[in-house]
Amino acid sequence: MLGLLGSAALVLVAGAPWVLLAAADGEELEPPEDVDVYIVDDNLTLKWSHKGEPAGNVTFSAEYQTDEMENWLKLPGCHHVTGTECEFSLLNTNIYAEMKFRVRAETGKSTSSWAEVDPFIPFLRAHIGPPGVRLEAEDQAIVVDISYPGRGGKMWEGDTLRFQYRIVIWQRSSNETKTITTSYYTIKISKLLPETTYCLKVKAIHTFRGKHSNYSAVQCINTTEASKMPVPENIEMDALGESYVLRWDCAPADVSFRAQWLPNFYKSTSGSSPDKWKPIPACADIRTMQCVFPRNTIHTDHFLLRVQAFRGNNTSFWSEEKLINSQKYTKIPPPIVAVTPTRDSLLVYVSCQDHSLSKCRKLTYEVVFWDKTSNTKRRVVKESPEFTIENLQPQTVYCVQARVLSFATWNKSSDFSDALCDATRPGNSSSMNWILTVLGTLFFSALALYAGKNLVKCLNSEFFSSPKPPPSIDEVFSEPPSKYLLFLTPEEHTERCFIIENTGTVAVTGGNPSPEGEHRKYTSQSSQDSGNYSNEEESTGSENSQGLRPQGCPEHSGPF
Amino acid sequence: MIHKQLPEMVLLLLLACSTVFSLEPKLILFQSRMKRESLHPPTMLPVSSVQQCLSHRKNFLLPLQSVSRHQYQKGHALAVLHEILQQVFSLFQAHLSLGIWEETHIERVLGALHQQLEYMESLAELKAEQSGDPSVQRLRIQIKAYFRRIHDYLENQRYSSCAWIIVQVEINRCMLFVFRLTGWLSKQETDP
Repeated sequence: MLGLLGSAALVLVAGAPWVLLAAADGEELEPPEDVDVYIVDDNLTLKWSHKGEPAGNVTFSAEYQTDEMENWLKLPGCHHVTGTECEFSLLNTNIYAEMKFRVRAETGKSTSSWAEVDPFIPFLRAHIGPPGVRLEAEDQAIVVDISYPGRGGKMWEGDTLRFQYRIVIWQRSSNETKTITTSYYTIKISKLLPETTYCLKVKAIHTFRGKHSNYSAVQCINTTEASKMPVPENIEMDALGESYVLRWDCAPADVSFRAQWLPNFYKSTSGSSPDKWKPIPACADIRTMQCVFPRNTIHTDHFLLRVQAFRGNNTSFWSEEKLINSQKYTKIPPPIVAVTPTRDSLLVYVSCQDHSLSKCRKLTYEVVFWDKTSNTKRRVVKESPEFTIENLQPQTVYCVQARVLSFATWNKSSDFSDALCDATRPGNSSSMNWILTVLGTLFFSALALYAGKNLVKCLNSEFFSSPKPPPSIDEVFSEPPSKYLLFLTPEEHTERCFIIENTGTVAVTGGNPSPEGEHRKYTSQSSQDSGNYSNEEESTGSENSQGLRPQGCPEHSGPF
Repeated sequence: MIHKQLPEMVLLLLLACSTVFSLEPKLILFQSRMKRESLHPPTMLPVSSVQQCLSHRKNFLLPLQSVSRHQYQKGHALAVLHEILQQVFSLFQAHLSLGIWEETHIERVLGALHQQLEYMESLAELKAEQSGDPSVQRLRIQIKAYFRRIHDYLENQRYSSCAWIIVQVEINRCMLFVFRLTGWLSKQETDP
């Protein structure tokens, strides 16, 4: 071992002059400066500057390391490069882990020291590239199909819902622009002129990180000549029982219509909406400008509808898309009203009857109440489900009914609930009420204190009891802790009873109840004695406790 | 196929989430628990299928510790919930075209997820996050990384049946975490 160390030392001593020489050779080779990383989508560009050596003689190499790696790895495409930048794809790296980069200059056999970039998380440093844009022309509309920045890459794959897109559109012959902001990936810009050239550009905005991309390259497209087939307009929908009624307008012509629907979420996903539109069977081929279809045709709450006219093989362009929130057409059930009367007021509690409580948000209740004898109704509007109607007459019957006045953002109401009538309490007994209240409070406090004390006792005995010996030992020293007897479960109470005689002996009755006459022998006094006896056992651990334990009683009783 | 059951768990998630922000938090907790119980059986995987796939197991490193609800405020918890919903949406949506699930079923799940996300984004706490709180960003990054591991695993396993079963078990695990989080959020509603 010593020999090995000795030879290693010799090698080091012998090698030292060579190291020094190499350093002297590379003394003038400066390391790169101003090393910077620029990330757009999944593409990383490493840039640096270098001074001194004439261009061409010096090359540069870069390496990277993530916090999951022990060693530095050569950066693909960044080895012996002659320029002052190189590119690297982040597709196969963990963009959520910290990364480090370093670059050095090399010439012949000598190399500079490494110039390192501070560690960073690529995802947090990445810029957003412009979105992809594809255009399709109609006679009076342009369909813009957007793909999220760096589509196919991993940087924004999990953030596609976070993007908004700002579309700027203008007629080529004019400077007047129109801006549209949308979170949809396919959008139809309508009310345009036929046979006209329109240009547009789109940029992406990451809504949470507040980052904007650059605008996409300007693209122009000509709208087609005016179509002879009329396009349905003014799409409206309504609900009729368990059906939806879809209506639209269309220039009179001998045409048929078909309607389709699309789950709304497809509009927020890149590239999937065009072929996901679904036919509505009841509206697949109709001659009227309305159609009725069952609600269960549609299986998402938010959806879009569109209508097309056709005659033989000639079809019109699709109408504008109408976004529907089916909640708007959901009937609100009347609320449930509960009333607690006092001397001169009614405490009213109104609750939403809808089973999905999320639908009970932001409700306003209209409450109507009246003296049953007069029928003069008074009306209040409350946002809180619990409130008090004050200044009422004592000992008078009042009736209350309520309805849901608005439902989330929809301006609609439910039917009134059934009237609930109750009498206010007698009038001149306020002092009596006080006394009763005080007495009641005292009584309940005492009860609570007693229950609390018992609970603490239970917890102490359960959680802080001394460790139990193994069953084998337990059998030998069969001395069950008497505390279990104090905490018999209700089940055990029903199955077995302890009957304690005045003499102190114990009899156990099983499932068979004793004759009534026998029960009468035992006084309540004797039972109390038994309780005290048990308590003493617990504290002293007396051997006599054996006598109180029924045969076959489970060792551990109940949930305590 | 067994993995057709996968989105069921997401419905549970939605039930849990949809009840977080309504008026009666006490009831909500109860209700979400009840619904979880009543919906649990269909999501149970046959033991035999799980056993067959044991060799495919992988630790996806659910960031339980760092996103533990005890350490954060309501805004943080909401961000975690929002990020998980968003990532679950992306996971299913990305594989929608594989035809793994019945289309109607997966559309219902994605529609509900999308609605839930839209609702959450209208909340003041999440809007405030747009200014970019670094601690919230770190949390979001950890969840993104977790779901990236799931995506990569599926890709490496060529979306095999076993891979989907393993992912289903993992999503179930993630949902249990989400239930805890929604429960905690409901409690925050009671004692703001």
